[in-house]
Amino acid sequence: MSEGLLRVKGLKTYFPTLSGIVKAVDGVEFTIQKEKIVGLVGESGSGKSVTALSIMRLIRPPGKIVDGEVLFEGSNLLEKSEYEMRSIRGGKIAMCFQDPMTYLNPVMKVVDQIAEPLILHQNLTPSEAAKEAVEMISLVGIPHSSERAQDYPHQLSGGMRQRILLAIALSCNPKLLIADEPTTSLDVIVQGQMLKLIKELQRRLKNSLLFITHDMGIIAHLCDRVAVMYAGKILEYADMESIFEKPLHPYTQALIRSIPRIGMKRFQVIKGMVPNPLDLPPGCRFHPRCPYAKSICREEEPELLDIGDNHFLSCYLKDR
Amino acid sequence: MTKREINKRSFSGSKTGFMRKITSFIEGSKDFWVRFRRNKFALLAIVILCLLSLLAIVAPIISPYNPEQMIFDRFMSPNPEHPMGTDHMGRDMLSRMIWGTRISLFVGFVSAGISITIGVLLGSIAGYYGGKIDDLIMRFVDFFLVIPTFFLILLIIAMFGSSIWNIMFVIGLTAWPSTTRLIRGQFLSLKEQPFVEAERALGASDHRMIFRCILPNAIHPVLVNLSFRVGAAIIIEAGLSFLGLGDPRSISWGMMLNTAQRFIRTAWWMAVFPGLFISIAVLSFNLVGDGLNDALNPRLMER
Amino acid sequence: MTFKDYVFRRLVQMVPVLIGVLIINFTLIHIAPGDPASYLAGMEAPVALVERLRIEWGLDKPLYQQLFIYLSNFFRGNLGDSFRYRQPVLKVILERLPTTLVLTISAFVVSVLLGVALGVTSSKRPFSFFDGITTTFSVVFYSIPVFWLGIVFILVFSLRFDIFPVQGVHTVGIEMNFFDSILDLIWHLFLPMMTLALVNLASYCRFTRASMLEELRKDYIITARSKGLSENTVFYTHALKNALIPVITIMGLRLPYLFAGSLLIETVFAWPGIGRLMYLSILSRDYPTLMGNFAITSLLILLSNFITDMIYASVDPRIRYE
Repeated sequence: MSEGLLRVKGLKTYFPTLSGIVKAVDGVEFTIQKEKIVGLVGESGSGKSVTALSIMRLIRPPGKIVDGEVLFEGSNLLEKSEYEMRSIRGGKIAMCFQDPMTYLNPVMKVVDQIAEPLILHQNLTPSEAAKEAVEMISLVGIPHSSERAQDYPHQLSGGMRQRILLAIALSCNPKLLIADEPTTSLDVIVQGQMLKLIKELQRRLKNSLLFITHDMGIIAHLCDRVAVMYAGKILEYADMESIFEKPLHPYTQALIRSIPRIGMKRFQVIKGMVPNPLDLPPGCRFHPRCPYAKSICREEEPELLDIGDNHFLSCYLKDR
Repeated sequence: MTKREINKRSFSGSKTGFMRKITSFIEGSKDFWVRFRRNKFALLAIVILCLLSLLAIVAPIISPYNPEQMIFDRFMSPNPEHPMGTDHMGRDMLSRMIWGTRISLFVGFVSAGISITIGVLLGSIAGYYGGKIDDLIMRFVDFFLVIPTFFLILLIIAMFGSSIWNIMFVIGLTAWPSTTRLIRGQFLSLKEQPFVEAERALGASDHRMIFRCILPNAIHPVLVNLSFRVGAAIIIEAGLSFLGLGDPRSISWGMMLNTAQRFIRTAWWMAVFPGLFISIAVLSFNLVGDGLNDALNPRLMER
Repeated sequence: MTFKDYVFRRLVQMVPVLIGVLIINFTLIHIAPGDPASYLAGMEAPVALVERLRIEWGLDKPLYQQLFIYLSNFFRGNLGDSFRYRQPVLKVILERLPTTLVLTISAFVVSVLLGVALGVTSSKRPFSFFDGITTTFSVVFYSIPVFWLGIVFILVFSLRFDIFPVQGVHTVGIEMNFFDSILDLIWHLFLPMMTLALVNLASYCRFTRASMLEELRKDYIITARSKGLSENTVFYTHALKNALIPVITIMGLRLPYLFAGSLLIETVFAWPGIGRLMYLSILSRDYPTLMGNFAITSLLILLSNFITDMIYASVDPRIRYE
């Protein structure tokens, strides 16, 4: 695996609570190459968002990144000072979020919210930044951009607000965009438009993209590489074709099977539930729900190993 | 909350169910008491309140002199025989202070009790039935929150006479809005819970739903409210007495402040001690209320 | 709902409250012990006066008609006549109103500014030493009876240290030019105003602090941080404005307490406003003035609420642009 734009190695983020330590991210590894799209997929509670926030160093106390490396353009983000991180956030690495209503400041005009990072990172004057912001608004596909710019978030529809979040993130042309479930709160038609927009913008602006979702179906439309996350760990990580044609981890197989298709007689669900992060099963975290679990699966956690062809797997059942 | 989970399982009003409810309430509260104990101020406040209550109860025994006895020198400043001095009529201040505890605490508790009762009743009805009844009750609540209730109390007492029962009733009758809002809010959020739906599916009557099912779960914030209400009632009574509308047959701290004003240049102790006791009592009730509040809504130390 | 509709709605909502207050007055007159006339005319009123009032207030008519007369009298400015001053109640009240407003408005402004400032500062470093001190002071001042605090301040600052005058609104018997009389007013105003402000400040401090901490937990703060903004920018530019909006609502809710406190303070400091008028009316059982004062104070609170509602609407864009 070459160095790439972003390389996450052994990332561990823990949250101490009154009931014990929640190991939200417990040893995550993946790489994002320049101008490539990596999908991070997993059920709710698997630690995907925490991974994203850890990369941006936005984890607040009592949460703490306890181990690992996050190499961005060669240097470790976890070793940088807060001051250095602030010039990276919004500038070189940017993030957009899931629920546009709560993630936008309700008393600030949309144009001002987009202009903020522009003034900060590109040293524009407020009026220059405002002009640039209006350009961004039309870039994300919102018509009448100069009028819409003067609106407040509550005056816009859900889809438009999500586009604004995207505009904020892309305003300074970051090298890496992290999108945390940007389509989850949108209805299906708007979802499709959003995905199309993200793909187009990525082609145009040539940024790398870390796309976080729980929807395997979306991954198929968008990503170059896919990382499957479960209970704080990466179970499988490979090129999109390999994942869909030759999924090796039972969890990955189950995820793919559960994508609703026309003509399906009934839903294919994965038996069981995501484990309680305070009470993780011993050995492989997935073994209680795995139909092929062997005795070693219950005892020792498998490592994430390269089994050739840039395909990484964390499972004892390599030969299935 | 453990208590709610247990309630989900026992849909009973039977005697054994009742016992189970009591024990589960105590168990569920253990967590709560652990958190409460960590708040040192609240604990100190509870101790002070217990002392004050004790003082009120054993006043006749512990009071060094008869509070009405006017046999001493007038305007004695604090000295070993009279630690709080004597007033303009030669009465021992300390004794009067001790006896004053009775009135203040009594009025405080009874008034708060009245307002809590009214508040819980109206709040339950408003929250449970919703719709027009809710609207109507909330209109009253909003009305009382806007008007200067202190002025109203003064007006009523001036017109109806300043007996202690009048005072307690009037304070109670004007202080219920905040409790009503609180209980109503609780009901609104608890109404949608599955255990309520289950109880309703079993065919429970409205009366049963309100009093046996939802209310026991809604009651915790009311304890907080109660503490604050008592403190507020004590201050209102003190204010009334200070303005001359207190019950003239009783010894009240507020009334002592009223008389003290005339002699402020000569006898500072007449003014300082009564107010100090009022402040300590009210402060304790407020601290207990805060402590209860924090224990009920624990927040992790996040920023 | 446009802004104009909102304004109109708020104005209209004031009327039922005012009528409710008047109904309370009316009801009290009729259910209190004794003859209703004695509450309007006084105990030893001459027969001619009682006769006049009988006509003015319709005392022998059926109740609902009396109520109507009572209400229409009020809206025409007739609040009855004061026993003590032998003048129309409205005149007596209006003469003293400006004096009260000076005290109340200055105390309000000081308590809001100081309270909010302290609340914001302590929310910046929660659970720190400064925060602990502020929180403690808040709960202490919240519990102290405002009239006792006034007395204590008089004892210390006026009697013991002779910094401020004991009572009154201006120094009597000395000729002063305009500038000096303003200074004299401020000198007399300081102690009563500070007492009233300190007790009210506590609520604003506590609430602002809680509101700030609440805002800082919200999602848009994460977005702000993800832009690379400094903590100060996030705190002041993003969180503060949002946190102050609910504080405006609190200002409205605190108004009845402000006026009640003002009444007590005016009594302690012999400040000749409508609060002291209320006290003197209690002493002399001047019922028309008491009732008129209650009604006028309610009206004042309604108007103040209206003003705070307008401020709220102009600050929160969610109301402005619906």
